Amino acid sequence: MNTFLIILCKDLMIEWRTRARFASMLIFGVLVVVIFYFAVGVTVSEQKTHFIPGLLWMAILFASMIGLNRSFALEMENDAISGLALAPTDRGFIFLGKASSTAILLFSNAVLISTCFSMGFGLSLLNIIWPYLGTCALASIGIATLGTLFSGMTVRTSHQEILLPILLLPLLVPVLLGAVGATTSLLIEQETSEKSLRLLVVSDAVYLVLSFLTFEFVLEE
Amino acid sequence: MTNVLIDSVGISKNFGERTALLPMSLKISCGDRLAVLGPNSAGKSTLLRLLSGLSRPSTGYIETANTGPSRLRKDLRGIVGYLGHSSMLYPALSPLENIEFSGRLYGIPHPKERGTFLLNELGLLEFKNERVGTLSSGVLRRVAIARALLHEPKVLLLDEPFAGLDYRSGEILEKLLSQISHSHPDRALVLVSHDLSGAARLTNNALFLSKGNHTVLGAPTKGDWSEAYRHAQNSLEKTE
Repeated sequence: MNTFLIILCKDLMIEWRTRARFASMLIFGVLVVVIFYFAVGVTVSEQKTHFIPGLLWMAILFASMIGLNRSFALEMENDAISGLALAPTDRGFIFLGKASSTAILLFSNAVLISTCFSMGFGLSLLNIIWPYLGTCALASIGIATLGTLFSGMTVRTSHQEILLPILLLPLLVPVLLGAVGATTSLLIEQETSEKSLRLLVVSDAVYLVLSFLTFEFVLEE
Repeated sequence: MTNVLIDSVGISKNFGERTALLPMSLKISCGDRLAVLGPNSAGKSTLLRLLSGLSRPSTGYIETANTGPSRLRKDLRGIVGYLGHSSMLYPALSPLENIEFSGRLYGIPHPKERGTFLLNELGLLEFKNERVGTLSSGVLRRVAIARALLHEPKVLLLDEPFAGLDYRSGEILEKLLSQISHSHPDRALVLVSHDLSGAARLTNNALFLSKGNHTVLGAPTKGDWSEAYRHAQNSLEKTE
């Protein structure tokens, strides 16, 4: 458990100093929102409201891919990943630390992109703020969990930028379905979709347990 | 396995079709000071990565003293201090922060104090708060050595520790390693080096590797292993 906190603090401290991941994710996310703004149009009709959540989560997911690609990049500089692999601790906790720091970054990024999106498309998220933040948190955990595992698996390959989305996106379908379903329900019906939230919670739990158990082999040569 | 710290039995390593290390057995006991010598691409670094627990052998297994198989790899990692070709340090953190981070992972009680002590021993106190990314390669190498020594490992695995060090830094490191070897007879040192006389000053036995094959050279003669090295290289090349 201690290892988890040590890795989490280290990753957040490095991110605070460099701001490399967060800035690139945010800039990319905002650019995607701007492109959608011009492609879809300003006025939000009732018909458009149905596909707005899909667009929002596409923007968040694309921005997240940038962050996930960089998740293990800092461990590759000076072969710091070997230093982590040498630590006499359960490697599952190393995974938890890295996944948590990524989840925090993804969540903050999702909140900022959602704010830009709501301003651009004239959506009011204020009256659904808490359930929406809960949806963002659950989706961020799911994306970060699986993303960290696959980022660790592909970081030593020469085509990480291509391999990561190809491997990751099909497996993230349950998380995206849950996030889009919950957001649609919140925006249109102004109520929480239990079915979507349940899908998010179950997929998060399954991915978390599987990733925790398999990460041992990701750090091995 | 009373005095044996690491017992590797029939370990080998293949990378796809390429064989980096042919099957070999090696015992590292308390007080051992072993030099691993050989030409480039001989499998020296691969052997050290296997012994450190960083790499899983393709065949064979590694045992440590008093451990069962289930906890083996974690325990192996706990007793070794490893220095590879890279520094394993984070560029955005300072040397002291890097060492403190490692110390916490190893569960050392006062990692900051221990880190400051080691940086002082290696003449690095003036750099302790600078970002690692701004340091020269020689200084980086010394910080990496401090990191490897941090948890007072039972087995010190050093892959070309003198590479990139200036004369004075090399002298300080040699003195420190010699002091550790002599004051802690319960510990072992395994050193990969191309400097035969330097290795002979720190170790008393040598293993010669060539294209994954190995032979034991024994104690140095006339201050180094140059004669035994040439002989071993010729005989291993004939057998290939």
